Amino acid sequence: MTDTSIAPNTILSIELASGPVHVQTGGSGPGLLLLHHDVGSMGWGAFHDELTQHFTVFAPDMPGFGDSPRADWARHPRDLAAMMLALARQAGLNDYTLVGLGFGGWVAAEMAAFAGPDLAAMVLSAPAGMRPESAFILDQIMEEPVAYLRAGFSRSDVFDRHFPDPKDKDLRGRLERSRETIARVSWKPYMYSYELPETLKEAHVPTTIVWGENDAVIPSECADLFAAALPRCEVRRLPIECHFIDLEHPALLAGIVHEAFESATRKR
Amino acid sequence: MFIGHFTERPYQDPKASFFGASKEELTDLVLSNGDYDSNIAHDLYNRYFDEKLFAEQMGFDGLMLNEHHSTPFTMGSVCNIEASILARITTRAKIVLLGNLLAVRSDPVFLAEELAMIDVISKGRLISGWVRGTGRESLSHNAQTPFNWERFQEAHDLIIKTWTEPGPFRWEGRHHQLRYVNPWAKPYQKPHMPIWVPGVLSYNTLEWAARHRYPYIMTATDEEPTRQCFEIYRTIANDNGYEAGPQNYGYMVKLHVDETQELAEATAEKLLQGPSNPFLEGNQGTVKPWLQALPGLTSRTNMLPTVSSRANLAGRGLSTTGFTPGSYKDQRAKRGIIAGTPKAVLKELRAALENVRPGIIMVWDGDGAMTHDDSMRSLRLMGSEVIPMIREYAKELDLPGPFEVDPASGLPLVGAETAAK
Repeated sequence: MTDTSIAPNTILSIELASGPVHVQTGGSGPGLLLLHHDVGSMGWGAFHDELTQHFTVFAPDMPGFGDSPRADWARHPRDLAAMMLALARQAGLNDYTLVGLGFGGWVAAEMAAFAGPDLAAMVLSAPAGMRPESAFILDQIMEEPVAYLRAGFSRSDVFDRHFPDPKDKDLRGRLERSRETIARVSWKPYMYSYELPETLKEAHVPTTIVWGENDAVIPSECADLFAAALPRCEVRRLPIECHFIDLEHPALLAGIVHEAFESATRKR
Repeated sequence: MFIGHFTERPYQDPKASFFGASKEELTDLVLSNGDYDSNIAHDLYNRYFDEKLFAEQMGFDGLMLNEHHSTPFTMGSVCNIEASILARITTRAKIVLLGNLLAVRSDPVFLAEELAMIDVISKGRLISGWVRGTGRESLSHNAQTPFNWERFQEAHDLIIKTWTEPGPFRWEGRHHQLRYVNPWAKPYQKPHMPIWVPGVLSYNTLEWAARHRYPYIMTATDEEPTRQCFEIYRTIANDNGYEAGPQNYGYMVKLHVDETQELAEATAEKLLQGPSNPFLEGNQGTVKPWLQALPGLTSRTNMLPTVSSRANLAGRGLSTTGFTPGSYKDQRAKRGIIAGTPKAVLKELRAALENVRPGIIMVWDGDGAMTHDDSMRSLRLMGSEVIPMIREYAKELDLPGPFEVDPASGLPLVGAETAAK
């Protein structure tokens, strides 16, 4: 990116043909595009701050989540991926690092299948997109929204710190909005694609897959499925037990992202 | 006046913890079908057919069926199978489907074929009705909820075209694409069978029905908000260039007639027993709100005046009747349940007809924990004493049904058939 520093949590609205996209940005250095979980962005937090030590972070609310209007025509995460590729172009991101969290990891993987050489590195934290063989992905359609959110944490104190009032009307509204978007783009198959393992075979971006143990939302066996599909993939299994690694262990995950970028840069 | 008979056809298993006097409430979408006893179901299906046959003998104009899935409160999950059997074993009564789940069907042409066959087999006695379904139905057949309303409307348009235009034709819609539409089954009735639309809360559905000039049947709603909903329908009709009247309005009421007032009251209380049913006031059981209202399924803001009654039910305190909302006494006091001897029932029913002014009455009876004997006693008295008087009241109050006055034009129908007795 540039050497110019952007204050943390600076809000942008990037206009795409499909409508405006709300983006939180901040930091300095090479560009990084961060795609949020299926519950939507939980706001600018410690993980973002950690990333800004090394990157200029762009954290959009994908269309239909948070403060970005829904693209009514979208029917698949691949449609969101197309919009996020457009957003990266609009934001002037070159040689950027793509980070996807959970569902955002699926969108990022779809982007990688179509991206050009301007993608420097990709880090996917417990990404959706693959069909696990021995367990199911936890279905947020069937779960009470806050209970589903809670399932992504291993420590209740961390959950409580992030969501001191789970009955908060704004939180409920955001979760409901995210849930509807998920119902529009990933009703069935739920949270995986039969095509993704094939399209990823031509995604040559250096990729790091990060997973905790006993992820209660997306089974960690999916890490091997990504590794089998991606030509340049490293799997990092962490001795932690949560899905929201970015919220429970922000410094750890941010450190892995930085290492992945450094490694990819060295190999170029 | 069109007089129909309805029961949900509950799965009644006296041994089940959720049934009858145990008062154990069902939580919707929790009960395993591992508890399903095919022998019980065999007896019940046939019992309900016997009751429908008897209802026809007793002079009901219509035999109403409905469709719910994955629940013991309605055994007719594939109600078109029941309808096709009724088409063969009955001879006069209309077969009223209220209704099929348009948005849940993956192939509307399949539904068009089924309904056309039933209409032909019954020699034009089918009344087709369509619903959007609840979360239960969308989950049971994995229909994508945010597109429920769009799918409903597109399926309707496709089915009407299938019924009315010569095939083959090609359909390229947003939700359905078909290369070859040319089913070898067309409705007996021309241009197609009547379409009625049931509803409870959704403004969109009422507005859609009124715009299409389809009679709108309010299912077990309180009288005053029901009357208000019909006023809304009438206004929309006016805006769309026609005059709506009783022939456009249907009202379903829980009603049980019996030999003595005491027996009637004791039996009518059984309506609120049996497997819990989210649609049966006083015996709703428990629902998981996030499954009942799946994402994007219905508008949470565009609701009919009937929502006020639901709010009372969900809240605490007392109903305007002074009783616990939804309790038997509450429903009796507001005529949500009418029970008694023929004379007593007629008095209450007359008041309801004067207030709501429907041209279609659906009598909801034989439900909950009621036995076959309970149902048959009521049906017999309906036939001998109640139905003839309802027809007299309808004449006196000028409440024509949709087979006497055309709901689409407001003009009298020449050669009006059975319902215009």
